Amino acid sequence: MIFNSFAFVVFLATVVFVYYHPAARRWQIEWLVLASLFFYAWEQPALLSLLLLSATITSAASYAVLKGAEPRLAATLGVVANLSILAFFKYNHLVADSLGAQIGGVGRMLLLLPLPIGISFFTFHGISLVVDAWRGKVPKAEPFGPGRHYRNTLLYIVFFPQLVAGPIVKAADFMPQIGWKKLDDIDWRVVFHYTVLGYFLKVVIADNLAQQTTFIACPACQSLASIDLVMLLVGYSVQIFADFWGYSSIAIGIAALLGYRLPINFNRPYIADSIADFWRRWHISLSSFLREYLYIPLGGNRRGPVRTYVNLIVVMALGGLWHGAAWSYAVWGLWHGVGLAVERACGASEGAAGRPLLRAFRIAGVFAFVTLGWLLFKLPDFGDVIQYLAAMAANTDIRPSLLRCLVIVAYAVPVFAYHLLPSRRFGTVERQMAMEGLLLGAIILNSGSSNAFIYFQF
Amino acid sequence: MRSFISSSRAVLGWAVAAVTIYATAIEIGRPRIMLHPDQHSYNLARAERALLAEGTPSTVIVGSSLGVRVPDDWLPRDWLNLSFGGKGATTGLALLEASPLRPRRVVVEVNTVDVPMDKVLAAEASGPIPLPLRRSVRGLRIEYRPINLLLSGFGALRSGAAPSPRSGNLQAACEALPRSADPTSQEVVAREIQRQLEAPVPAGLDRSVSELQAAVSRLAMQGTEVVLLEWPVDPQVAAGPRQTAIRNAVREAMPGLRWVSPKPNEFQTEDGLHLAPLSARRVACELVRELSA
Repeated sequence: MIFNSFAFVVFLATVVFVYYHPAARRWQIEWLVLASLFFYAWEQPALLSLLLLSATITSAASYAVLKGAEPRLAATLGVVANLSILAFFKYNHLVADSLGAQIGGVGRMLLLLPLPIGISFFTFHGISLVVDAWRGKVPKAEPFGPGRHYRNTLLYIVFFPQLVAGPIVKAADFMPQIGWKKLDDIDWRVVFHYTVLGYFLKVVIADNLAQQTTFIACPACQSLASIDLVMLLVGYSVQIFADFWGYSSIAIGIAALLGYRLPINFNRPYIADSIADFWRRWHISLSSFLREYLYIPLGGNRRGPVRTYVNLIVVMALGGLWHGAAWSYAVWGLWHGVGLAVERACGASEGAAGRPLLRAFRIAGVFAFVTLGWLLFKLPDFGDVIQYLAAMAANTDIRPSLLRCLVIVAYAVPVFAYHLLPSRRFGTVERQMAMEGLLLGAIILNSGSSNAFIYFQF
Repeated sequence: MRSFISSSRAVLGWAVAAVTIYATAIEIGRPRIMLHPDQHSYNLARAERALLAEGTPSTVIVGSSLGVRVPDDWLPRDWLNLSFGGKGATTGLALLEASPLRPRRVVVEVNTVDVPMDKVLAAEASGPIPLPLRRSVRGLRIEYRPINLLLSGFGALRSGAAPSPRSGNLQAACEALPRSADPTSQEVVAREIQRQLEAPVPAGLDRSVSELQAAVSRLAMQGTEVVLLEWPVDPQVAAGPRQTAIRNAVREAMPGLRWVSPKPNEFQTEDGLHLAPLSARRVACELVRELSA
């Protein structure tokens, strides 16, 4: 079920009605778990068992850790089990493809397994719970028992607003929030702001740009003008931001409607003035997860410069592979990892605060770097990427399509304005509500065709 | 709850105000939409026009992007062009059946009969804003989306935009069309022609022709005149395996139907299949003349 579907509107209205109904008050958490499982099963009922398996293993491991029964062993088993599920179900095609002719019977069997929606997210939640429990950051549910702990674990992992595309919520942040919620406690400003913003970004910007960016395909790219190819890439850069921040924003708004707080996942990433700054602003929940659970355990920046560069590159390459089971994602991660390492080696990670002109140049440079990297996201075949770049360099004599450029600019302008005008500049709550009203008006007047969210594939 | 009421009232109030102002401006200005951001938006706006069934068109053309090349104002006012980019005639026929339109004559393009029917276009064009509301509020229609307005405004400003024939003076406009050839790139034409020479998959063609035959029979039962239309394409493409197979299959399945193939003395295509702008206008004039005869 996707957020921009009629089925979801009906689903959400039913969930909220029952959730806050006085008669169902005692069963709020159970109801939310049930609703989340239904939400997941809507798309892939057969794979619900895998989600439940991951949640059950996570619950058993974290319960053992919290109870103090062989905590190190239990934590290790919990992490390994979740990583194994992720590796087996997500990277089966990559392994089979890489084996090529030597694929054999096992390889062919692997190719038959479908990719479960949201597997990257729910397995990372599982890892977070086990690790946070081991680190003593997760409080025990009161009264502490296997049933209650299992229920709370299920809610943390399957909570439908963030189940299929994040944001990735750390267990230490989510578990203490689990409890009885009252209708009067809802922060309606948060609900309206994030929901309207999210839907605007998704259905007005991303869905409309999606019609244009289908032209990022080769060999068709060979007949497009250089300017068109550049504009299409810029369009894709805007689209992927609007699509993913749109999803995260709707998730934050809906979670707030149910009384839960999810982390802000994007902070105007395209005004980052260094690659390190970009990763503090883009998919913040993943960046902080990778930093806390991978980069720091690898030694972070505490073991000298060379080890720091290696850690950055390894973490980013793995982060790239987390996004998708194709080597192009790993190369995309390497692109960023090497960028981060070079930037750090040159002492340029700290940005250029206080020097506006230099900062503007750096913002443009980082945007160009990031936008070029998205090509690896859009075209998983390296041959296509090279063809695209070659056409971009060679087709300067072909006349560009003014119409296409104008459409991309028209949809990019609101996104760049959003980056350049921080929300607090709108000042009063009244002005913010006026802006949300205008965005809602745009949703009514200019929605594109409904498309699935890009990050669903991850 | 007080916070909910004040927030929702303010946000909805601004949204309603924005939509009302926009819809009023559209109602007063009645802008002419000439450009759409992409093929899909164009298709949806066309499908919406059929579903809203404004006016009573005497003739409806159903077909593909070949027919899209013909501008509306180069066809008589009571004609409706239901050609869709990337689709075939069966999609237009399905939409016609779903709409309340009952034209006297339906002109069915045969060149792309092998393209499968799109069964979701009508559903997509029908939502999410209810059609009755769109019928009465022009500003809520797909056709009048702000992006279309922006692009059409830009198109009107561009110098060299093709002039539109004055209303009711189509014949004079046809006679006044310049006799010069359309500028085309021979390299592009040669490359695209190679792509057009592949023969259609026989099973797929048979299925599509059967669907077409069934739709044509239903129209005939309602008393609608059905005319088969073969748009002129590059001679190499016309003689190629795809067009030949389609032509033979349609002729065999529907032997008694009138077949028109408007061919002006000179025409150019941009890619072997799609008519260049000036040629498209000439062909439109020729089609209108043939069907009026």
